[in-house]
Amino acid sequence: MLELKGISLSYEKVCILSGINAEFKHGEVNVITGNSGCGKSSLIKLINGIVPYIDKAEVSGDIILEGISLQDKNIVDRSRHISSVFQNPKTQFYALDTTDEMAFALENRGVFKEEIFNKIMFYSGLLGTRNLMGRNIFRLSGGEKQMIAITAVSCMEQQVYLFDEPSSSLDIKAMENLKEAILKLKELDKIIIIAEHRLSYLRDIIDNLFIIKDGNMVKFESGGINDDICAEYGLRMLKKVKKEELSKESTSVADLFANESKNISAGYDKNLCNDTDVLYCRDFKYRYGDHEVFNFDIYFKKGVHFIIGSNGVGKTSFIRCLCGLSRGFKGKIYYGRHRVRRPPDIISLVMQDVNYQLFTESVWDEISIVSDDDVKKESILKDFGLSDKKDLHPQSLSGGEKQRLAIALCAASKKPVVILDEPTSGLCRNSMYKTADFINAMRDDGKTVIVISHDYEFIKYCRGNIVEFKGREIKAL
Amino acid sequence: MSEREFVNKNFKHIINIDFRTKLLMTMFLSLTVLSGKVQYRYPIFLFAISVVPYLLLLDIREYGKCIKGLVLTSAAWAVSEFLPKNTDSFLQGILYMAAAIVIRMLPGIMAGYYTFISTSMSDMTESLRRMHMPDAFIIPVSVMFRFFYSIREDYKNINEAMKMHGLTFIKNITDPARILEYKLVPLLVCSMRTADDVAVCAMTRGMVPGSKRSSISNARLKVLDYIIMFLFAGIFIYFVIFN
Amino acid sequence: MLNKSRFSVKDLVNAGMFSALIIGVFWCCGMIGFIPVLMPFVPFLGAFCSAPVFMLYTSRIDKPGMIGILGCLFMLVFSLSGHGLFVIPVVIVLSIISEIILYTGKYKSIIHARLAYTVFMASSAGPLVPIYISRESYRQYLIASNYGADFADKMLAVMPMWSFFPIVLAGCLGAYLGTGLGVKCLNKHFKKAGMI
Repeated sequence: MLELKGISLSYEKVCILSGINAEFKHGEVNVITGNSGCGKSSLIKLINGIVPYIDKAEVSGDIILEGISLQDKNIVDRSRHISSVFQNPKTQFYALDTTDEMAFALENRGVFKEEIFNKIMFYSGLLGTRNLMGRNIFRLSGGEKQMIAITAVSCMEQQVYLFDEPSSSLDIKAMENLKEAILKLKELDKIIIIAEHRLSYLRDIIDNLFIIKDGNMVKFESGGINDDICAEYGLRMLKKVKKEELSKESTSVADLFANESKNISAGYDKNLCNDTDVLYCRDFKYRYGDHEVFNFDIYFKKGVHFIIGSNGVGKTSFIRCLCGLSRGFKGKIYYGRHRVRRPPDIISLVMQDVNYQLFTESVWDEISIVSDDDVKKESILKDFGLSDKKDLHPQSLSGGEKQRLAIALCAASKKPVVILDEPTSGLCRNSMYKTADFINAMRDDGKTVIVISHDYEFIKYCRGNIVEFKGREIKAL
Repeated sequence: MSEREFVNKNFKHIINIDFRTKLLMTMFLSLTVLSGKVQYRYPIFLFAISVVPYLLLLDIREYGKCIKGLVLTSAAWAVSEFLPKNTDSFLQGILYMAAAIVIRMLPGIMAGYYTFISTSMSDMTESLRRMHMPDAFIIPVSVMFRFFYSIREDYKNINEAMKMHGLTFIKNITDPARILEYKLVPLLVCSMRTADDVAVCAMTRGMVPGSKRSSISNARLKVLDYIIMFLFAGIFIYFVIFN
Repeated sequence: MLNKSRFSVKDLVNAGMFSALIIGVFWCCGMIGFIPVLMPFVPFLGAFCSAPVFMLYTSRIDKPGMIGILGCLFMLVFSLSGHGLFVIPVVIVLSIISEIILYTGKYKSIIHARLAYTVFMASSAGPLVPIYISRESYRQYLIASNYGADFADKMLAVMPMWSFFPIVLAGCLGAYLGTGLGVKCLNKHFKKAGMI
């Protein structure tokens, strides 16, 4: 059993947690949640030692594992009992190769080679990652990377497993795999603690839900967890929003191979490219490796459009081609009666990782990249709640604020088309609502907003057209 | 289930030599090729030895690099041999020098590339450990290669973001320092964050520099290794030192 | 734990990362050296562009040995990519001097950091040494093939022998200017963002 006794945490005199007491037992899935900035990640870091050994903070209270205090143990000592899986799949790898990664922790302990292979075989079989062995980590998808991380920490055979927002950049299928893995760990009688925003994928397996608000933590046991509590505390919905629940009238299916069968009844009138308000994509054909990803035409009228589809169907490839980021791509784009030869002239893009898009030394300079109109910039910053942060460096903002800044740039720019790639991954409910409001504001401003998302809760809240990409069945690798 | 299941499919080669052998081979090869003596007295031999890295690249299925390298090498040799040497043209002097640079340096670069691409990190770490290198050297070396990959990815993404924002070289040609700033600052920020995350991850997996560690690697010097090492050392000694 | 290294995981990972960046930037600048006319500018450009990265690195150094690691990796990459072994003794000496400079600055002085890199980048011309060495033997070859010393000299006018020291100095100058730019950049961005 892992106990927290009287835990208090402050960053530079700002108190985040005060007097937290909790017990985490073996074989139970414990989920810690709350709004952004409430301290759930900090609590996880407190347990595995990152706070205070890496992130300096004032800590008081005690953490006791099986009767032994962890207070004075550093990260490496705690790693003998505790394993951690972090948020960002891309940066939690030491090795280049999946097998090396899994062996890493055991090599550090000096375990014999045969023993290491036995453990790798056992856990990769248990968690279903056998087919990912012997591959280059950089070529895996986000979900696969996360599964490798879980398998790697499972091989350590510790008692405590900590997860810090593990589903952040994952799509629906990957979240299912993640849930299965957590279930397996529960069956192995481990102590599992997960800090999360998105509760829907964990719904069936939560044993205890801890909600942090105003520095205090409230516990709910599995019988008493329902959506009313979520509403009361401002959390994301527990209930999974299913695809079928999305508005039928505004959903259409885009056959990604329409042009192949010369299916004119797909309904795309090529004359639409002469319409002022239509973004028309013509002869969009793309190959990846040895298979065709899509070969179709599509158009978007002014307004908000959500692109949904299964993982790997080609949504990101489509967006990249549309933005002109794909070399050798020959599809034609029309907007406002003209052929668009340089897509960046009419398209603003917000990528999944916003850190790649922050270039200057202050928020004001950043928004000045896209606009010279001072009055407009002031009003946009005010709408997005960034006015008082005008002179701050973009990199000093929190994750949610950076996201808002990136969207603010799209709103301030004169470019008529805005594309957002998974804007709500890792956002709590209030931030998600705010994002939806920003999108609606841009729509009212006359822009065409295209959003890739698998967050059905978000799509349902935001009004808009839904386009489902349907491609061919791709054989599993 | 045999342990061969887990060997990275990229590393299943016909020629399986140890990392240490590859290091020595690269060193002797590049030294031999760099020396002017060999090019002028035994040009055919030099050409033959320059091609060796490309054969090795074929073995690890790096076809693209192999073909580009061979084309460049052949072009350089053609210029070197067939360009008329009796003209005064400055341009021809330049061309000749460029060809000379390619002939001297490309085999070494390709051999070095082969050395690092064809070795898995665990093999490299184990070989370095057997050479009694300290952790303070081994850990940065292995991490450096991991970072080459992630820096390359980050750099590509940043360039794309710059393109989307219209921060291109052409539009800012009056202020090239700005472009450097736009490229470098996000790259440094992302890299620093990655470095911090990787360090934390390594610590939570129990890594302590200087402590004894085991390895899943099979790095061992076999007969083939010794043959290759002596062969290349011999070539170097004979052609460069004794001639 | 016996034989514990005096470097922490954080130190070594940072060393690896910054070395990758510095060497990477230097290498990319070096690519322009394939055009012979531009080759003399490679040390200057390489030192200049990689200097800001180095300044950022020094902000994370607090013990001796980190420059040494950078130097070792520098040696490793350049000697194993066909640039010859001349870099090795040069880098060893210069790394030691740089370490001493940084040490006397107690790892907090900016001026010491700038000096340290200026000294270190005297080795930036190291990768070019093979060109000079082989140049000499090419000249011998031309003379031996009866082309005449005159003709040989004309051919090699692009990079005369005496140009070596100015190039080394250019490397140092590039490092000094680049570190100045680096300090400005550090203050403008990283200090402001609170990352230092």
